[in-house]
Amino acid sequence: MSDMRDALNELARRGAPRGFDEVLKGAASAERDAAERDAAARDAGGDDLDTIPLVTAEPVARRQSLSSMIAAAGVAALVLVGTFAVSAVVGSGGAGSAEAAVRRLADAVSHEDILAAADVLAPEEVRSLHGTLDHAARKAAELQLVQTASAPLAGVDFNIHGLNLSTESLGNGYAKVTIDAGTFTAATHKTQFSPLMQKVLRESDDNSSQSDLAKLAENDNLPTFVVAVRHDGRWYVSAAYTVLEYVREYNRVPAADFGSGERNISTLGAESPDAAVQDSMRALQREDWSKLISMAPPSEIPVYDYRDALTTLARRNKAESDRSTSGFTIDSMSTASQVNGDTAKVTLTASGTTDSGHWSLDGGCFVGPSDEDFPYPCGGDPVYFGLVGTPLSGLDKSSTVTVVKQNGRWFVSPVSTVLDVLDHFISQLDRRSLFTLLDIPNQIPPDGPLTLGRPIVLPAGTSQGTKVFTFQGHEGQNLLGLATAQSKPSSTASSYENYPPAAVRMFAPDGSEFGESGMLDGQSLTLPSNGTYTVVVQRSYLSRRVGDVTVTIWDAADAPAAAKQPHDGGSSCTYTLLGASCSSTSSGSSSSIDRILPGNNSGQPSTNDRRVTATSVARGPSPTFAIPTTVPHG
Amino acid sequence: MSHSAGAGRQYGVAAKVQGIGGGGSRARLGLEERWGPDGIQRLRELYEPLRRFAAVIGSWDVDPDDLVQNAYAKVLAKHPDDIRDLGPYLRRAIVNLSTDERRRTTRTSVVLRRIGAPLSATDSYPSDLEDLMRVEPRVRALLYLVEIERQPVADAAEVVGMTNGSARVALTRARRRLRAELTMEANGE
Repeated sequence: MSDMRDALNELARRGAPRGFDEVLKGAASAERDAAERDAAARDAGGDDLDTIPLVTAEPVARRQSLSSMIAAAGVAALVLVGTFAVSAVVGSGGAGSAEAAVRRLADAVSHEDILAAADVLAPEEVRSLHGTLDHAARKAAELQLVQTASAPLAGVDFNIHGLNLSTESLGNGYAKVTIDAGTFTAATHKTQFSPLMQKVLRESDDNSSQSDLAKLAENDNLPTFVVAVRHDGRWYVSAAYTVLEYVREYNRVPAADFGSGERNISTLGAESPDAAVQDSMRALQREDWSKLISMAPPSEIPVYDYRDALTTLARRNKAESDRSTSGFTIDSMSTASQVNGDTAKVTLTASGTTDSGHWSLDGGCFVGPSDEDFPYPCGGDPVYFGLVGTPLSGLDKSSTVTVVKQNGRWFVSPVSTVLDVLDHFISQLDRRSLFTLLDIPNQIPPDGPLTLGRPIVLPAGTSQGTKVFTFQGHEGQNLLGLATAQSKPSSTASSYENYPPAAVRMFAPDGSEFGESGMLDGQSLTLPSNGTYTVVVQRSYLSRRVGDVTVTIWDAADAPAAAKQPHDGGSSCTYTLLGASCSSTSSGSSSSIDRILPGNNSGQPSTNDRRVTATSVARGPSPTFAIPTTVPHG
Repeated sequence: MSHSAGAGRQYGVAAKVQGIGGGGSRARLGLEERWGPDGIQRLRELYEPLRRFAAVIGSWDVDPDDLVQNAYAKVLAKHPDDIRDLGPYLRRAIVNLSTDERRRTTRTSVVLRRIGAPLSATDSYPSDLEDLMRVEPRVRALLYLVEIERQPVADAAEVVGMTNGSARVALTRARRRLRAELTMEANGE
């Protein structure tokens, strides 16, 4: 096999195709059978469910990938920012009926009025967010994520219309409001976003979407509903009860015993904060879900009301898992608590085993059996976790479990515990981390001009893992770099140690980014024009346990031998929009292979192609395939 | 190379009833009515590229047509208007189905090992594909989308369910590893 592409093509051609007609026929038959099984199961009304797909998420329709995700994150942040003030008004709102609460919520959404929306959300569920949202608001303003905190949803237009509701009583003070008809539309107006968000969404246009509210859960054969609860004679929409009721209905497990948690609160929880945490851990080890459920504060997460449903679900899952035990053991455990009124912060240290090996927890620092290959820093740079998992970076050794006292008993508060982590994450989020997370590192104010030959240190575990420099480059200039780590990964089995612990991203004077740069892997980068470039030097995601990383960039001619030494032998490729021309060197001799990227009919680059040349300087074994590089237009 | 039966291995895809109208007893339209000639033609056009994609990401003992068939079964349960972009949707379905299949195989192996039963034969594939087959399937699919179909990394990453950053790193790793291995082969090492 001489070429990776050949191998990929060979693999893609494997097997004897049955042909479209046969495949479609089989698919139609499978779809029909599944639908019939589904209908039969519904008619039976029992627990004889059809096979539940392991696929947890339906495939998502593609829009603009990164920008969609960023947009979602941005909107979520905007919502957070605007919601901070809600706790000031909660408790005075609600509605006269369950249906009226839902209509008020819909009306608030249509007017992008977050305060009005919060006014009809269950007070206990909203109140706990106050501190975190206030914190988020201040940070968002500081980082210019929003124009003003008072108009966090500027640029987003929601509308709900044609709402047709029906109500079913679930118990005294609990109602299920089903949306029988209604349309939700959302539109974005990019120009109304903050300048920062406009940069983040640089490649996306204004867009809009419309959903039939009655069919949101149609794939699961469920109606769209929310659960409303009554407090002090007023009705509020409850997110917690809504989620749990969906879980119950989807899995067809026993109904909730509404209000039982509040009624039996004196028999739940534990006698002390330490006991609450330790009892929860031991319940987890024993897979004693009833005990675990009893440790959650009923007013915060009403899992006790759903104890029959949840324990049934747990038993069912265990029966289906072919496992007699989880293999999860706790070999040692200690706690230390600090009590402040009705709230306690408990520091937990524990260790034990699972089927896969040893685990340990020290505050918020968890090391699992598989962390040899996928270690993550504890209390480190949020960038390591990516946009979605980034709040996890708020975990460190000082992280605690929040325990709350209600009716004289102590309960583990999952919401407060998570919010503490989120608070910590927010407090350590700075412009450098945020811009890196949003994939606009070139917007970070430069740390200064790049000096060729001067080492750049990227410390471990801080946002300083990304540094930005300006560089006055000239056409034809060859740059080559070398990244060295303070230490090797702790696991010798780690496959990551063979890769550069840092990456260099080059942005042209016009702001466009060059494609993948092998500058730290023995491939020099040839600049296409004169101008001021932006050079982003980042620790690699894979360099989590290697200590400080040092990167030095030279004129290729001045680079030391180590920088000219790639992992893969010598190769030299020139990439254009139309193709790649590669030559290789072996034992002092050279050969040349012209490669044209798929979809091009001509091997001759056009005269106005902008070229970027990536050249490996070292001599070594022949390369076997070319690395295509996306080259930005000038 | 071993292939499963033509009818296709079932992956537990619960194709849900996707009726038109309201309520649980809503009328169910037929496939032709839902998808129409244009929709079927679109599926036809996608068949070949989807099969190639399935062949790349799927385990060696899974017939690519089975993956495509089950992905089709998923979308046929839906109304075409509910799917904004059919091609990426189907590819993502294939990624999920393939992942499920591997998880199921792994679980079965664990159970068999635990009870001391002999394990079924491991995958065997042509030696010239050995290096490629050692690459994690999602990364293999990523390579295919980027190298062969020339898709932008961001789009390919979304199809295989990775972040853009993770995909870039994974691509770099895979390319480097393959280059190293292929070079060693070329040198007879």
